[in-house]
Amino acid sequence: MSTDHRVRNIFIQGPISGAFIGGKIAAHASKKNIGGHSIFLGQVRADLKDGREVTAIEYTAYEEMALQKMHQIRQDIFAKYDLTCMHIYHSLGVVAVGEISLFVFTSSVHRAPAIEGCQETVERLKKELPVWGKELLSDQSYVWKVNQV
Amino acid sequence: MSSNQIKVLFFGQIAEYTLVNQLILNDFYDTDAVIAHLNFIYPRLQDSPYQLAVDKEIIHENTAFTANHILALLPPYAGG
Repeated sequence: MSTDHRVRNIFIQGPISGAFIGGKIAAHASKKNIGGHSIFLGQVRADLKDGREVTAIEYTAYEEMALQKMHQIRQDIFAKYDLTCMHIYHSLGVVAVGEISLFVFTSSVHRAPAIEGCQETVERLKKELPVWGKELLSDQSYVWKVNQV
Repeated sequence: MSSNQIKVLFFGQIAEYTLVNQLILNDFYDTDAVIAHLNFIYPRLQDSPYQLAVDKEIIHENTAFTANHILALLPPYAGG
């Protein structure tokens, strides 16, 4: 179980690049006790809204509260699952369709805690983090995104 | 009762109605009083879904302000 009690920043301005994600995976090569990683990537989808296509999402957040809440979720997940480590990154600002806005990365000695811990973290952060998304549409208008609960 | 200061924060679609991201209110002593005031100056708030957080913790009932606090109006989340 993690003994790291720091509140970590999770926010990145703009999309999360493949190079960033690859770098984070590569950085774990030196952690020889890890036997499995689980990764969730949230990608901006070209939904249709009354015939208009979503071209990007502009994310904003109540950052201080979101980081505090994410810290609570992290503590809960580490208490429930035998994880070696967990990394979370979420975009702020404009992320275009096809780009990555959420990166959840869990690791464990065997696969089950990493897979289950990753899934529960994704579900919880979508419900509990004060983050908002303005879906920018092809006709220059926008609608506010609401997560399915 | 001693004087206090409440910082009210608006986000997402709520901030679109209010046209400001924050307000400072003096001498309000519970959340119901603040919401009644906000509904008076921003009538569309009454038709808007949101949760309240006091000092970054979600609340579900009227909450007293004993000192300076931060009240946030949080429209439905859309992270991920």
